[in-house]
Amino acid sequence: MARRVAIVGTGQTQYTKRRRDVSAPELVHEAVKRALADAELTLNDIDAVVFGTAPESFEGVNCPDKWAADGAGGLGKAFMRINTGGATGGSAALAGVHHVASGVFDVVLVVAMQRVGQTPVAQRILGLIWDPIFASGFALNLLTTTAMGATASMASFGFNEWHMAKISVKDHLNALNNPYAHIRINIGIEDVLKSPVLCWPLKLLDCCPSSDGACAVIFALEERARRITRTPAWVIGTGASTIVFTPGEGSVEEELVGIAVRKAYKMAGIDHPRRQISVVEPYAPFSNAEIAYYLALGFCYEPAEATKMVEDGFGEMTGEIPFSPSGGVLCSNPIGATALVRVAEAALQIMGRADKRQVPDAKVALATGAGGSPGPGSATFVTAMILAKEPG
Amino acid sequence: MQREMESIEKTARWEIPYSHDIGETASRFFLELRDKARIMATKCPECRRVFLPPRSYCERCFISLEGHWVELNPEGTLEAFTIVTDDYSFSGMPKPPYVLCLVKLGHSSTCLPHFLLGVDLSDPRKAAQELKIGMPVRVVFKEHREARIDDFYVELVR
Amino acid sequence: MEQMPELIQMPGKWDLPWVYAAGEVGSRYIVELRDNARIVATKCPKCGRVLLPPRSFCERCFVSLKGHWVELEPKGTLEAFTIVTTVFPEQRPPPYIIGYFRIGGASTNIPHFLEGVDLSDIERAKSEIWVDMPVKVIFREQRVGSAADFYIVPLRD
Repeated sequence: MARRVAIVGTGQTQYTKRRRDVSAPELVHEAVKRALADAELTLNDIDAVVFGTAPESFEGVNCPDKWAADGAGGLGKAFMRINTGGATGGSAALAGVHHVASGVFDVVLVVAMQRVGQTPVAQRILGLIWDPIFASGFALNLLTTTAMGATASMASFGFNEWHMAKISVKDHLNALNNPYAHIRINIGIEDVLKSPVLCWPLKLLDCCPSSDGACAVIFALEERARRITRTPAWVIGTGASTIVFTPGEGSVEEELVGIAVRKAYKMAGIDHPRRQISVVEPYAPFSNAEIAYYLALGFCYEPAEATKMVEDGFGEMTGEIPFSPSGGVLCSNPIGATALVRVAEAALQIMGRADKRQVPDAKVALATGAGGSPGPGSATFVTAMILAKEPG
Repeated sequence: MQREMESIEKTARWEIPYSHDIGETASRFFLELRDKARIMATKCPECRRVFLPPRSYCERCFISLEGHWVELNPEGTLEAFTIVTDDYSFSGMPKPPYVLCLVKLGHSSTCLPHFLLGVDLSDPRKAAQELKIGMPVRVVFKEHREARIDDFYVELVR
Repeated sequence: MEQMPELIQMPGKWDLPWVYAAGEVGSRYIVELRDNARIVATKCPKCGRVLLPPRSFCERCFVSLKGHWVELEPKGTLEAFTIVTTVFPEQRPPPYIIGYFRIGGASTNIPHFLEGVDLSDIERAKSEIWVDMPVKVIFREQRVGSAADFYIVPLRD
């Protein structure tokens, strides 16, 4: 990277089913104010704004970036909107890093927002992705395509609904430590297994909620970062990739993270991820995703091993490498913001400010983002960012 | 000889209903229209700008405007306008001709879009010549109000 | 003490009509389904991948696939599936099975419904479908020029 970049502040709003008390720009404004307060900066300190939000058909307002721009602190500043579906927050974070690393901007605010509650037919809107000639009419949406991915994975990994339920329980219990989390319920494996089956093998408690919310993260170049905070979270590796395929056509590693994470590892000088990563905030909106991540992130070499790792509690708070200490996407999913929330939560871990959800002595954190779903007419975008206590 | 390939097309329709949460600040604006027939705005204590429609933050000073409400006089000035004539048809809009305008009301710093009534549109070109930026306008509240932007109309003061 | 303010929601609606062009290559696929009950795909002259639905370019080699047509056998395997038991607006009433299918040895999979499975007992049905299961394509008598001009059923010996 041309210049060293660090995260110096974050801000999040309470993730919830529906925020009735604010308009979209006001929701964005809330997150931005909190991030500025967190970093003890003012709008004058910000050189550019990167704004992320996923399809405007959720908002029912075209170009919600134009609407929210002033609430995001965009007045007079370079402003760019990013939309890569579920990866939006991650892509926006990468853009923020690149803006600073390039030398053109010193301090960049990245903010992402989504309201999923403005329409009762959010799942149908997601179904409007995919090729209208070849794929429409086959009930493709994020639930059904994920479910199909799960059955394909179950065949190659050997996990079953019990393993998925164990991940779900872990995430939900972790969320109880996160005041921002949307879903905060105390559940056990039986609760997950007995929850309504939506599209087998996905049951209600295997799935993320639809959440309204916004998140903001401030990136600064090294000299500024050291003056702004004593605990910057250094960006030591980044990567992004685009995958075009359907289940059965590509390998799981390619499927979930493509070469995005491997690029980030290379940049960060990580060659033994299982020994070098302290904590992961993965883009895992469904309980089966984490299992494939154990393999995809290089924490094991065989699919069957990943299934065993679930049984051994690898990703628990007390496990070898905690996954989703925040409760993860399974408990809060403001779509366009979600991947940025992963970055913010990873930053809080590195900065030692994750309160009750802190992983002790977290030194290196990995945050991933993923947007899109397989099928004709839909690529998947994957992002990865590695943060550390020490600069690279 | 290869015949020309038929070009296949598929039609579809996006019918998506929304229920927009307008937020606390905008809600107060509409409730004041409906219940008290008055136009409320917010004012930034730092830069002193008055926002119509009201907003909960000032985008320049980046501070909260919560609690900083002011009432505006129901009269103002024409700041910009266009006359939509039969030549253009926009779905969901009134039948042309009509005047679409931006007005400042009371001491607002910002403009509100609205329709302008009280203009003789039998000859739109002539009307366009006669309308001038800065002309006085006034607000007339309807008897029956429903917390909508058309709870009042704006007309030229003659 | 100030009470909770009344919060207003305002109705909105997007009512947008669309006309999607299938394009030259997509049109040929549809027309072959409709008129000849054939499944055609395009094959990349460089990497050899067979793309279904067919497309005019290979996204990996970035070469044109126009003219590089192949006909595929109307059978294949089930690569992934789900049994939908929840109602999705504008989709058929549940239960039903959707899956990704590898037809005629294509390099890419297509989404489609899996018919011909008795879903009156879903638990039992789960044991009758599995990843890699053989399937066959059956063309409808009445075809209208749509990706659904055929349906897919398990290939039973």
